[in-house]
Parts: sequence; C-alpha cells; structure tokens
Amino acid sequence: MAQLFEQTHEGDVLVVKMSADRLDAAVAEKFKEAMHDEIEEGAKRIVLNMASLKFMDSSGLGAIISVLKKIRPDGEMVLCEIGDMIQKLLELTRMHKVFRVYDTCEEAIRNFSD
Amino acid sequence: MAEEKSVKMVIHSDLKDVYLIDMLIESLCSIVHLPDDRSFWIKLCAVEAVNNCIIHAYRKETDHEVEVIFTLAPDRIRIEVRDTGLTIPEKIIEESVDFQDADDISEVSENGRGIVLIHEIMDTVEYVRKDNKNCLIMTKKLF
Repeated sequence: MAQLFEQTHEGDVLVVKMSADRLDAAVAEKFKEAMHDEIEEGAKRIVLNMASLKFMDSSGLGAIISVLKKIRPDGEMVLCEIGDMIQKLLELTRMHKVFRVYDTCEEAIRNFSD
Repeated sequence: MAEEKSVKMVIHSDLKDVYLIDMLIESLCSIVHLPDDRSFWIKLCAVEAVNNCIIHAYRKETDHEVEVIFTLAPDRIRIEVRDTGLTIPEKIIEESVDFQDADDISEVSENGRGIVLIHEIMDTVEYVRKDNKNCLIMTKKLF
C-alpha cells in the first residue's frame, strides 16, 4: 500500500501532509492507527494538510474524527488546504463546526503560535 | 425518448477494490455531463453502499462478490448494489447518527454516517431482498 502521508515538524507543530488522493474505508483504519501512534508519542499540535485528497467517505471522516477525539482536550488538530467537495462533506455532516479549517498550511501553523 | 443504458460491475468484497466503482461512476457521469460536484455525491453514495455490503453483509470476508448496476435514464441515475451476505440489520440503520451540531467532540460518533449520507443525498433509497440477494436501490434525478 502506498504511503498515506508525509510528516514534518515546524517547531512543536507536527505537519501531516496526506499523500494519497483518497481517505476511504480501505485505508481509514491504518491512517487512524498511525495518527494515534503520533499522539501517544507526544504530538500535541497537528496540522493535517489535505490538499491531495480528492475523495473521502464516511470511514475516512470517522478516522479524522477519531484523531481529533484522541488529541483533545490536551492538544489540537486543525485541517488545511481541503478541497471544495471535502469542505461540502464536512458541512453536510455538520463536522465543519467541529474542525478548525485553514486555507493554507502556513495559516494553520501560525494559528498555533498566536 | 432516449433509452436507458445500464452497466454492471462485479467486484470482490475487498475494501481495496471499492475505488473501481467510483472510477466507473465518474466515467459514466461524464457521459451525461454531470458537474463534478454532483458526480462526487453519487460516487460517495455508491461507495458507502458497497462499503456496507463488505463490512456488514460479508463481515469483511474478501471472497464474495458485490454487484453494482448503474443505470442512466434520461432524467435520473439509478444505482443498485447487490450482495448475497447477511441482510443488514435494522439496528445498523437505527444506530446511524443524525447530522447535528455538536458542542463537545466527545459526543461526536466516529461511525454510522454512511447510511445517513445516502438518504441525505439520493432522492429515493430502497433496501429489499430479491432473488436471494440484498439489494440497495438508489435514484437521483439529473435535473
């Protein structure tokens, strides 16, 4: 299976850039477990860059909800560079009220230093 | 009046193969010049329906078949998803989450949105048993 994401650090912010163009039921569990591992290893501030994603199903959505539940309340994960349809999916499921979303990765990282 | 055209695709009950369904649907939607945003929702519903077959009807066993019949009519799209597994119990549908604002992340469910999405997006949804198969039949008007 192709690598799901790449990660870099900007200070104490973990930037996770999705590599795949789909976050669906085939990979959702693997993604969730990998992100939970990052949190258990100490990540408290995560920016999830979703620029590559063209498709996400309810399992993919469930996976990012799971990561948010895992990191809060001691930490925070924000989303950035999400496509129009992924944004509409968040809105349809009312999850746009739950996730903080930024247009760019730079804005998302800056949010943590403000 | 233009005639209906149908395409049938059969995949193994493996979540890794579900992307083939939305590749097919994307191609078919382009035939009727459906905008990308509308084809996204139709693909999503087909994928959710097939995921449900694999996860609930076949319990993730990969040696079964899922049939998807995609029909283009002049005024609507019809998708029928068939499996020979367990009939999805009503409790799966009853436990599906409503799309409501949540104040506290701990109250937000991780699962149960697939069936709700299908009902929200499609115009008609029917789950029936015929020819010893479970059939989820969904339609969406084109205009």
